[in-house]
Amino acid sequence: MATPKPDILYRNISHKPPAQDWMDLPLEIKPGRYCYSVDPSALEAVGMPNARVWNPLDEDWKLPENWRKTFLDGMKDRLERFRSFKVFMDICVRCGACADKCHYFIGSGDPMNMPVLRAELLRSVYRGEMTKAGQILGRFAGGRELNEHVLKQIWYYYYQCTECRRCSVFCPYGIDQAEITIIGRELLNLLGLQTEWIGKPVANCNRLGNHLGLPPHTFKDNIDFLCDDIEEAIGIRPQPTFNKKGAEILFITPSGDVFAEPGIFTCMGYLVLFHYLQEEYGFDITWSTYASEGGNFGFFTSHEMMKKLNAKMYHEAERLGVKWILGGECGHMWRVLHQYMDTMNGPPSFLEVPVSPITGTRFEHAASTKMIHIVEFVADLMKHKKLNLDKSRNDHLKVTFHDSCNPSRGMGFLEEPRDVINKVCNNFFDMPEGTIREQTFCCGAGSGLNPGENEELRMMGGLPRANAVRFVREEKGVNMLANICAIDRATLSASMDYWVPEVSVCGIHEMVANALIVPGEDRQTDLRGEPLPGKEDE
Amino acid sequence: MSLDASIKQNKGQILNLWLKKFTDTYPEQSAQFFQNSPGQFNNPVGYTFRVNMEKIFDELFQDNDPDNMRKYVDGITRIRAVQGFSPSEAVSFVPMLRESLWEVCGQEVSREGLLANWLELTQKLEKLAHLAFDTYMSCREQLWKQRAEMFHNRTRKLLERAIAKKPAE
Ligand code: SF4
Ligand code: SF4
Repeated sequence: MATPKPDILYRNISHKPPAQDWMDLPLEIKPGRYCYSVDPSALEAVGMPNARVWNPLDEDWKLPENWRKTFLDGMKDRLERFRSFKVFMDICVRCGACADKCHYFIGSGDPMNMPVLRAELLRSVYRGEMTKAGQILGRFAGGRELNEHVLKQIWYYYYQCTECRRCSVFCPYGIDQAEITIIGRELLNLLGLQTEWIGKPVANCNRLGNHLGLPPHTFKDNIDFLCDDIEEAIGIRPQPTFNKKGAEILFITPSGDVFAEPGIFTCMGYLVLFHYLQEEYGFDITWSTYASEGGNFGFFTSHEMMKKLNAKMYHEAERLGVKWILGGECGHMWRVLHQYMDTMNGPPSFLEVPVSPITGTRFEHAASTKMIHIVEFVADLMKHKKLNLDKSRNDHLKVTFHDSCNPSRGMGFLEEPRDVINKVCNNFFDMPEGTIREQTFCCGAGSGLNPGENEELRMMGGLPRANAVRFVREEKGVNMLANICAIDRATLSASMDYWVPEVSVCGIHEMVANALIVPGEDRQTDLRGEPLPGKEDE
Repeated sequence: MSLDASIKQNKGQILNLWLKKFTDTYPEQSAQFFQNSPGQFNNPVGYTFRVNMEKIFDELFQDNDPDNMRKYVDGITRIRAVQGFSPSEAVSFVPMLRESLWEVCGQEVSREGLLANWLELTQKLEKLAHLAFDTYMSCREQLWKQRAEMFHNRTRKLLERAIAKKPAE
């Protein structure tokens, strides 16, 4: 046979995908979009069922024999236990208002990433297996049977949802796909269908208190090393305390801040701030090497696992005898604290309503949880003029702020971060409406979707956010993207490198510490070791 | 009429056809969204395609400045490079421009005997195709580099310090 000419070959390549009903779409698990399966040892370590070696790219997922029954029984059980889940399964009118609101759909063009279809994956099983109409009319009533293909679809697309809740803001019924994904993943976990990047941190956190599995001395060493770096930058060495019994406040932050760039600069920011407050006001705060993780990957596993991992915060607070807990810059940590902790593990009778020992402000909204966010604590300090600040030290920065999904949409935490930023820098520019505050775009990696192997997914999902950053970059010359979440700091750094390379990423407390005038300091550089504005030639 | 004049006169039609062909490489619902949904921020893919396609078009028939062209091609290719397309699919917007031009102005080329001009234009498009492919490759390489750096950054401090500590212990 003669070799066809290239242009004929080209003409025969159809770039147009076939138009099909969503239920008939074939499933192609694409590298770059899925996360590796978990090592069985991680599941065994926390007593999760059906641990085994399996590969999402294989035809055979080695499902347990009775997997259908396990899944469906699990679903029935949750329909009874979680009213929201039942309502969300029943009331969607498929109006489509949510369809184009998910960053993964917007960035990937994969229709299965439309929130309405993501929900429909599970809803079709609910209809087909559990409602009369669905059982009789099948797909005409939007129902279908749970089979391996359907299960794989659910797995693939429920690990392409960051549980960010953006879609729910636009749904007239308030249907929250995040809640549906949470339950969906819980059902997948009944079958051992966990990812490595979630399963491993859960096991580590369960045994050693943090995601990376740092033993207590390594955790402490790392903070000591950060103190070395601070000493080099400002000429003063903070003296943090660890596991100090009888301290007034316990501090808990995501462990990513302790060892990963650029989070370590945020962590150095906390250390400088606490040192300042200690020197000026006798502030008494301690770090824990046991509750050494603010994040909670149990939240992406099951309600029970979330509860178990969360419990260490109150345990440690009780053991140390502190009055209340201060939490660092984290995203989903705050969703867990704000929405679940009090019901799951609280209210803690051994703690007191948080009162700032410096301003006397009583944080009534945390009267039950007894835990507040460092940004609200610092905003209050600033309001009472308790910090001596030199904003001009951040004059080389033109800053914009990424509202992390959980603190913004989950907690309504919108003004405090902006307040703090405006007090420590002269050049702040918000991104355009529709991309910030309640409608903020996800970084593209929440809910445990930040391993190395699904980077393309993260880049696609991060595009709407990056696109808005590019706009303020071009219009206002923005060069720093601030945020209050450890996952953001890691994810947005890579996303900026790819989409808007002129923009760096930082936590707010890095800027706070750079602006803070610490008595006795000798500063030539910022916390990254870069010369401060005006000191470039010295 | 010259080929250039004919192309310029039909710019709107060519651009629309080009965008439609290119967005049709996505499933139907997404193609419609990318093509029709307004908004620089709600539909960054569609918006970036549309804007950069027009810029490529203008640049091609004006200065054809390589630096500008690289920027516009990058805008489109950078998106395609992460969307799971094969390399040829990722950069298929270049041959699709040629198709669109031919579909709109081809008859005129034959009728008016403008084949020489057409050949000249296809040479320019060939260069554009090379540029698109190079850009695609650099995006892919960047992704690999980022992936490697991500692991490195996550543990670099731990390693550095573990090594630094050794002699003291
Ligand atoms: S907006 Fe709400 S009701 Fe409408 S399709 Fe989406 S989930 Fe269903
Ligand atoms: S919760 Fe977020 S990631 Fe999940 S479907 Fe809704 S918008 Fe998409």
